[in-house]
Amino acid sequence: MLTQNHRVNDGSSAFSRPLAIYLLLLLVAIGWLGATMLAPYLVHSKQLSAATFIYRAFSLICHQLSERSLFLFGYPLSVCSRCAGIYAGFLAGLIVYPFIRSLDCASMPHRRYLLLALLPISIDFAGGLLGVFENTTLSRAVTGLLLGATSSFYLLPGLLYAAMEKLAGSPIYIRRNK
Amino acid sequence: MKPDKTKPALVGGLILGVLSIIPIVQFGNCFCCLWVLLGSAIAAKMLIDRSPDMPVTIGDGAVVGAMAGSVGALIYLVIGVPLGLLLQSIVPTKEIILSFYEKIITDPVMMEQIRRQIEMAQPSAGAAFAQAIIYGFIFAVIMVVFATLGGIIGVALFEKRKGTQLPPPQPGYGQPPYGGV
Repeated sequence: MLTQNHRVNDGSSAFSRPLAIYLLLLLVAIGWLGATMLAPYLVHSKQLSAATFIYRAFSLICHQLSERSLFLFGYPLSVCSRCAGIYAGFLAGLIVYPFIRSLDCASMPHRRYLLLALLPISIDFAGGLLGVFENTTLSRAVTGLLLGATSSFYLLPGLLYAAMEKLAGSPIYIRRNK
Repeated sequence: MKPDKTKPALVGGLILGVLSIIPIVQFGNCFCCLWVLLGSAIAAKMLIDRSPDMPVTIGDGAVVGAMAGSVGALIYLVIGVPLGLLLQSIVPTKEIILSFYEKIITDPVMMEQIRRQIEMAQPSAGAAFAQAIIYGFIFAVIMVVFATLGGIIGVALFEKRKGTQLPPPQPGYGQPPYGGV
């Protein structure tokens, strides 16, 4: 049985498994955010087939309203400003993660921080929906950025330890930090 | 003993799958895969409720989320894609793409070029079917990935027990087999 004190990196290899998983996730996050920015570039360079493919693929998970989007090369990103903020924040969180916490550390922040990060985006969304106030592109992007950055501190250890648990073949119990 | 993940995965998958195929309701997924995250978080919550002895691990959350996502993806591919094709015969894809570009392009000359290009590239019925299948599979993969993340978030939010609260070992645990050497 592995416990929260179990270090998933046994130090036998310079290129540890947590590092490999981290780098893979980092590449996926860069590719994902890059794809949202590639679509406007493709329209700008008149490669419409490729642009349409990306815009349609992202239309499955975002409303893509241009009045609620950030623009690049004069055209909207393939996701709205809130989604772009979440993805950019997630990537930023991943980049700073190793400077704040060790990849070997089997702990997760307390859930209160995740709930706290959900609060601004919920207020911004609900306020706009109920007509209490008019949210802006900036407010949507910033609140999304906050949630994305915070969620990386849950999803990265989550994915790391889910993968390591499967590789180890026994449960790893994670104690949340206060 | 670890609880069975099948029922939570089926319930979560059914919720996220059905909500993702109902016309209009499916637009909930336009808010960062809302239905997918919701369905997988419900699956994680159900798994936690069905595990009174042992805390549910992050790995369990990821697995039950991925299972729920797979169930939802199957529902989407079997029911959602044919339904989408049926609706496409009412509102052609060309019109949807044109209306999208009309919103983002203000230059009339460029818009005319785009209109001509899209009309030239108008796919046949077979190609439209193939496109629907390709986008269906893309969304199915996205569903599984986001549901896995939803399962992890579900455990982070709903599992309140500490990892040290483990059940006592079974009688005879730790003794060598056959009465020792």
